[in-house]
Amino acid sequence: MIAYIAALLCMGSVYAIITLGYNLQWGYTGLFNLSVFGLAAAGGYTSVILTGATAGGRLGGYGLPFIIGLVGAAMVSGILGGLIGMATLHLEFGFFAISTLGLGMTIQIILKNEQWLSNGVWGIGGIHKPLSGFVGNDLSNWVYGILAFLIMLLIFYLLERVVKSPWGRIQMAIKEDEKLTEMLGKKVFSYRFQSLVLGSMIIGIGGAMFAHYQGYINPMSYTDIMMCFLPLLMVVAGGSGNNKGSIVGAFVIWGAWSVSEMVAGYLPISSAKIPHIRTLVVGIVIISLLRWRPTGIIGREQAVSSTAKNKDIIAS
Amino acid sequence: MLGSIVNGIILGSIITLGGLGISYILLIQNYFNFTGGTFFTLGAYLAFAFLSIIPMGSFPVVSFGPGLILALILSMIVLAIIMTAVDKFLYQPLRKRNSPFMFFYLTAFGMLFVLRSLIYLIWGPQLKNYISGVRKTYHLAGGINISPDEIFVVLATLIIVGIVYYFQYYTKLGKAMLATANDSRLAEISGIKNKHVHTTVTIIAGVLTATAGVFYGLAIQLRPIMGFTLLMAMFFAVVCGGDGAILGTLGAGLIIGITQEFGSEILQVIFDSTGIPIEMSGYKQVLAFLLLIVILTTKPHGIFQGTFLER
Repeated sequence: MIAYIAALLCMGSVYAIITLGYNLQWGYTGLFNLSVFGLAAAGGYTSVILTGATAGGRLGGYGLPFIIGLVGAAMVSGILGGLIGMATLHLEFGFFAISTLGLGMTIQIILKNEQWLSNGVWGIGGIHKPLSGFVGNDLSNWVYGILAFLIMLLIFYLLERVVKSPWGRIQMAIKEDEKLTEMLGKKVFSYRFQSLVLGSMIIGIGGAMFAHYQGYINPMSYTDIMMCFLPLLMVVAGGSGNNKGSIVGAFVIWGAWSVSEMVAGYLPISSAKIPHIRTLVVGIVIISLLRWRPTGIIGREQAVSSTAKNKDIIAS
Repeated sequence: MLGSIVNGIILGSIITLGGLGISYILLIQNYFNFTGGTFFTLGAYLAFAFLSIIPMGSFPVVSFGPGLILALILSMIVLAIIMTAVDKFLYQPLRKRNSPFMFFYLTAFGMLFVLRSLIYLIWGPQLKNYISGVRKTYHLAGGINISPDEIFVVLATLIIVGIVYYFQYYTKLGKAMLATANDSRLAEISGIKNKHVHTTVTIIAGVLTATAGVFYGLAIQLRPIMGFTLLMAMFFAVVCGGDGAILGTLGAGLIIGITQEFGSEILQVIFDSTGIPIEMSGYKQVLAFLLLIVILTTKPHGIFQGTFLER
């Protein structure tokens, strides 16, 4: 039970970081970015390559400290987000969603095929947790969980400062009424670009934290279900455009997700079917939320434009 | 070399049918149906389920029998019913309360995972085939291996595209659909029932998607993820064809099919001769996607003349 709480603290914080980054893009600016799994994978692999002690024929083995790994992950994911933005941000809503989904798939395919970079489908193992050398194996989950929670709180604090500033209000205005914002003289493309890059950096940090918690990653660690669909559900469940909601959503959804794994162990179902049953339930939950409660658990705190009378626009 | 062009044409005709299914939804309801690829897989697996009940029988030249045709028709009907139910239950309330686009996309994205996990749960992750035995295959000059089934797929695709084209532009119902797509309020004033048009469009999309899925299963094989891997190519066919114009989608579908098969082989030869260590067979999907980005940034309304509304 105690071990479960430590694991929940670790994974909940990791998902909360990813969800906060995604919430900035989707909840505040309204970018339906579906390349989250690619960005998280890029962050995770960067950190592992930078901090790993041995390489064994592939790129990496620099043995740098954990914090440098996080910074590198944020930079690589931010650069990738910027490239994605330059290629796709001028497109309409639907085209943007398609192209970002394709870019996420591209990153995953590259990681699968290029062995010199990522060791292909065999993945990279033996990733160490920071500080685990000092405290031993029993406590390492607790230490890592607290560390992840603190990093998450720091990101949350910074994001709250950012979205309460004029910059954040412009982002919300872009989501609610793009043309009006443009008429006020704001460069919509540039604001969207900044939001995409900043969100991608946070997602990259989340992906790196995930890799260090798991200890072993391969391209399938960052699937579209676990790293794009689940964060999306967390954002929608917590209430898009609300940072506190994102954190609550991440912990609640991850808690339910991991408890369902334990419950499914007692049911008479073959273990190969359990992940699909969980995905099915999560899919039904997200569709029902959209159908009956589009505001999420907490809902959005404020609407900027008074012309946004449509309840769904305020809610989304 | 020539063989990969033939493979490309076969893949292209399947992509065309799937793309038409997506473009019909896009035409009337204005969102890109992410679920299209997964409905495609569901249609193929439904036919597989019916084939376990219906005896296959045999036709003279091809390796499948009348059972497959019957299973195809049943799968069309069931998929059309499923898609109509999804539309009525999930999308109609969103249309009624004038939800923003993102709600449609989010719902479609959620449906994708629901259907994918259902397919995994019911049929499992193994590869499946409609025909158990060895397929009849002709070996022609130039390294072309083609089976009569594949010729059937290409011919049937051309016939279906012809039927859809005739229906769209020469019948009253088709014209009513065009009117609704152009201006739904004006169409409603002139006596066209919007609700009926939405239902018709969904049924057509269901029939086309099921056909595409069954053809994929017939020409290649059944995999739970097959529709999702073709999703980018289908979107390319829709966008590049000119907002889903019917003949344009056919052309664009053939282009992307040939590019994925033949183009990747050509690129492999180029990479090998210049010494770049890239294995192209893993990157076929990426090729479709890169072409999609190029088309979207340079010619967002397609490379063919006309669109769905103005041919």
